[in-house]
Amino acid sequence: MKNKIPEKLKQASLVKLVLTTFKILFLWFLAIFVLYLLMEILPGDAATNKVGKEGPEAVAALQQKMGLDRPLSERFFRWLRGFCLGDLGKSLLSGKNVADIIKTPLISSLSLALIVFAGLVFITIPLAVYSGYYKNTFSRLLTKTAVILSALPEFVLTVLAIMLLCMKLKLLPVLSVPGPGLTVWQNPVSMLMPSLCLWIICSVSMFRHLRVMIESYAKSSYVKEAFLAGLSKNRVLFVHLLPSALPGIAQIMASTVPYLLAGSMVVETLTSYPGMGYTLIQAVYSRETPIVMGIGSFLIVITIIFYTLADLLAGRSIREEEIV
Amino acid sequence: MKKSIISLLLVIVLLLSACGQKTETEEGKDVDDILQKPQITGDETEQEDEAQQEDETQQVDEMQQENEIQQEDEIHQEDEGSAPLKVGALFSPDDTLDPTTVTSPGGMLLMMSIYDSLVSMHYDGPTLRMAESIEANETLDAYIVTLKEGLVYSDGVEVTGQDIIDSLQYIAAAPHYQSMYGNLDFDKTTAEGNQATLALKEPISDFIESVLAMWSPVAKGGIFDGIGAGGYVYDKGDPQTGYVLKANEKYYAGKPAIPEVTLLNIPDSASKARALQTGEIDYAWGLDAAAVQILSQEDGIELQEGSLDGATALELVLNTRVAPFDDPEVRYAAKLTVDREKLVTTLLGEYGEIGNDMLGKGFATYPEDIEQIKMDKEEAERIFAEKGITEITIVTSDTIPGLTNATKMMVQDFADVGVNVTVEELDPQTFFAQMGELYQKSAFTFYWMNRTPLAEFRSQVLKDSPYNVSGYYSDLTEESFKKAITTNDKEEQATYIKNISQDIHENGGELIWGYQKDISAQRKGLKTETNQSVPWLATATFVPEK
Repeated sequence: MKNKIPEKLKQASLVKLVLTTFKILFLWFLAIFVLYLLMEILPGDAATNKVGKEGPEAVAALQQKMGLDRPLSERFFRWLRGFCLGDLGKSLLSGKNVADIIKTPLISSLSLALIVFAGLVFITIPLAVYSGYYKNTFSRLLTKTAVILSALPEFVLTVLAIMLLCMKLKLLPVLSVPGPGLTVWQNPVSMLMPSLCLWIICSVSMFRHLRVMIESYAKSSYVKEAFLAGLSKNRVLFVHLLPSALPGIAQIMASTVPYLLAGSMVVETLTSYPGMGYTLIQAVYSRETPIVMGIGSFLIVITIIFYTLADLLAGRSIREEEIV
Repeated sequence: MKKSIISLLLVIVLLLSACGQKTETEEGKDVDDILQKPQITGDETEQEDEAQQEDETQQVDEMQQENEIQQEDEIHQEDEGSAPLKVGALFSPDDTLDPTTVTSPGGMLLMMSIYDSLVSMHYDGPTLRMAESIEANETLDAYIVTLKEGLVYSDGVEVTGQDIIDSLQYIAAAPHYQSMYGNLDFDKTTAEGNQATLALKEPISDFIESVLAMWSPVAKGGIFDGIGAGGYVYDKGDPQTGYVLKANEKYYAGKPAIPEVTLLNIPDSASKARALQTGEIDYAWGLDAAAVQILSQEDGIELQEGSLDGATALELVLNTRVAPFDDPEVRYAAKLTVDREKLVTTLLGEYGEIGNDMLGKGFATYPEDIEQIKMDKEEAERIFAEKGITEITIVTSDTIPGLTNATKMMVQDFADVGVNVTVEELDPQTFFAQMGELYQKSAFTFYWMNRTPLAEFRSQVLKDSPYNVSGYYSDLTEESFKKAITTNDKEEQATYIKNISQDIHENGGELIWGYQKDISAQRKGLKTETNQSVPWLATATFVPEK
């Protein structure tokens, strides 16, 4: 009897794992199909972009050469088949392998995201929690700084940072380029300026959300009861308040991941960082569907994984609360 | 116990400092020895004698002075050679080493550095580069290209006439080069040794200026894989992180002075300017007006105004297919309405030139003596009123930044002469895909890369021109063009070109209001020539000012 229960639990976990995987795959498929559709809906295509000035005959000939005259479903499933076999296809305009085009931006953006993510976890979250939980001059100063910084557009903030740190103090280079043929890890200095700018941009919005959330948790009845029971302020924070706030924090963190990977176009352009945001926008402008799909499918996977993890974390916390 | 440890540490520190001093002294001697080695050989035994020592000291001082002068001379000599160059330009993420796929300015710079060209275009005419000579036959339907003697690729393999044919055939197959090389008849084209005879489908007298000089790269067997006969050899890199190019030791004009060129992808114009200020790059290629402002007061940086041969012609197309611009008088009224000076001053600043509704400004054959159209709003108002024109539509798009702003400024000009303008804005990405619809509109904005008048006429002002966007053509232009391209007499050709220019200036549907020049900035000490605004790095020198 004792052996049968864990077996059942194992089976249930396995079923759940399969269901979760299926859910992720289904969501991914749906999202990439919508992405493909959106690229299709956009006016113009790679052929009009390249030879539009030369008239409709030239456009039609190039569309045929690029295979853009084929039905949407045929093109989509051809791309999907290639993707499943590990072939991301070729650029419509240059014929270059998409994998080669997105390799450098992918490494650069992932590295940047990793650094900024670490900064958010180890610096921003503790500061936001402190600011929401403790009421003193430092916490008020943090809040005001976040308000001021959040009022600055991304563009202005990045330019100000460049002017101060690169031009005035000469601490960092203006160009965040690792150098020809090098990855950002071979020249880590190239990551400093974009990661600093991105960290500030992500931090200010996250700080405000988290601070308000922690503040509301601090005012909740169970926290008050914990104080009345004579527990110390730190114990209330770490044992009672933070575990309850964890699902919310996880959701906020998950929502920053897609931005970190591909939404950082302004920062990348101003610092000349070879990331995915710039490559993606260029690909959309030139209607390079294979490149957009290559980057998009990857981003969608990452986003779904992070949101699923956040959901799982939230579900676990709720179950734990129920058990308690 | 503690005291003894501290004392021990102190002793160690003192000993170490003493050793350090000794080492410094020894090092000092070593340096002196190095400086004196050529002069002091054989005199070491007499060093104990004080007088001699004094003499020696004097000699040493003199020799040191001589050595210092010699060293300074050596440094100066090193300065005479060029330093490595870092260039900031815009690249496209999918640029390759194949010229038919390159779409960005940085990509073009890379291509020209690696592959060079048979001929290049200068404002006063074509300049032979890889070609030793290019001669047309009497009927002007074949051109014999002879390559420079001993011309080799960077890997040492000889460049052949067949390579020219293979390369041009490959380039001509690319959709956006088809109109340029469409007249080449590859079935009749032949090669022998370092000569290629390029046969044409119909006679053309300006084949060199209008086709080959625009760009005629050559690669082994027509395979553009990064090995060319240009001034530089691809070393490493990609469009995202930049490229490193090394001077080609086998370059036909001798190894380029600049030993290494680094091309960096800097999409933002202001970032290029800032990188130039901090010394991270030496040459910022392609700047906008804001970046120019950043750099205008910088010492040690020179702003370089692009020449007209690489400029962009900005225009309002008056569509002659539909009313009201199917009437030449109404077209003339529109030409009198627009305040070109205000447009150029406001939008292009000091890096723009006023247009005169003719193509090819800046080139030797452009008829400068045709009078500039001047704004005359009274006359324009009279014509519009007489013709009963009160409404027009202008379709605009920022296919080149600034065209929409130009249209908005024109709205006021037309309002001044009693014409209300409806502006329709289109997405730049889809503008060219809607040419069919545009041909039904009264007017729309457009731009051209400035080329020689004959090259522009061929593509834009004839009945069968692929880019005749205004729809205007006349018997005069057709006949004059045929005569211009079939005559070998340059003066006669110039007359025909002037006739065509005069006709489109007075009756044509293209209101060319300005020419936008490319602007670049560089550290002082860089000397380079350009071809259609693309710098020729192979012949450049760079001795940075200290």
